[in-house]
Amino acid sequence: MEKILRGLAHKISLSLGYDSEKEAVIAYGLFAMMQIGITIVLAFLFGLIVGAPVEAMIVCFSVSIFRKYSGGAHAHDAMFCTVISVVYCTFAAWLSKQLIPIYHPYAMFIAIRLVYGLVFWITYRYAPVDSPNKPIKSEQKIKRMRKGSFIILSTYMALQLFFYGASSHWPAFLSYGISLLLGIGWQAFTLTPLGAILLGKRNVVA
Amino acid sequence: MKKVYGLVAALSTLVAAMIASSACFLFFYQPEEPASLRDE
Repeated sequence: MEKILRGLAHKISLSLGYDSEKEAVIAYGLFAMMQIGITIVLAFLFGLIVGAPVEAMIVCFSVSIFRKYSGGAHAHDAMFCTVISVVYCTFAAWLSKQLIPIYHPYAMFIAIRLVYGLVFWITYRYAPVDSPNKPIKSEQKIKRMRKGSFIILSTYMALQLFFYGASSHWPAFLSYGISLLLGIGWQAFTLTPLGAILLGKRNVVA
Repeated sequence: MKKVYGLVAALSTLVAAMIASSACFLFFYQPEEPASLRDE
């Protein structure tokens, strides 16, 4: 897919008279749009199949928004990345539905405290995690990414507490809350050395 | 056709710039970032 998009970027650049650097930017943007689009559409479709499309989207977006600031381990190729993203979003969405029959508010409250405690610690210890293809070296950017990670996490925690409170009146929020917890838990896991082993190489910059 | 190419170029440049300000690609694969977008 990367080759096809590079070819398209080359065609566009020739037509518009752009230089090679502009062509590289167009190819990068095209690849980003394609990968994000395919992952979201597939996660939604597989979410539909397991009867949890909203939950699949909650996992998908909670991971990607947190990832924008925290970084994380990367897969070696785009195909493996798409497969692992879609499989996890679908599995977490399905699991959040399966856990409803055994849901207990007290157990959920303990799970929220444990997961957020762990995720805040992992973020403090490892974020931001860069990659050889997009290194983060400046102290200023590291600080900005760390600050962004904590802002996102705090927003998620507020949303999580809203889901927790709302679930006593609207049962749909039970699975929304569980899927959000599974989303941030997974993303925090990809920041750790164990997550790196699962997905591939990574560099820790903080 | 040039208008369509212009539109695609503008949109992809916008997305590339948005991704450049983040720690990484939003999912688990990171292609090599063009030098002009690097903010290390």
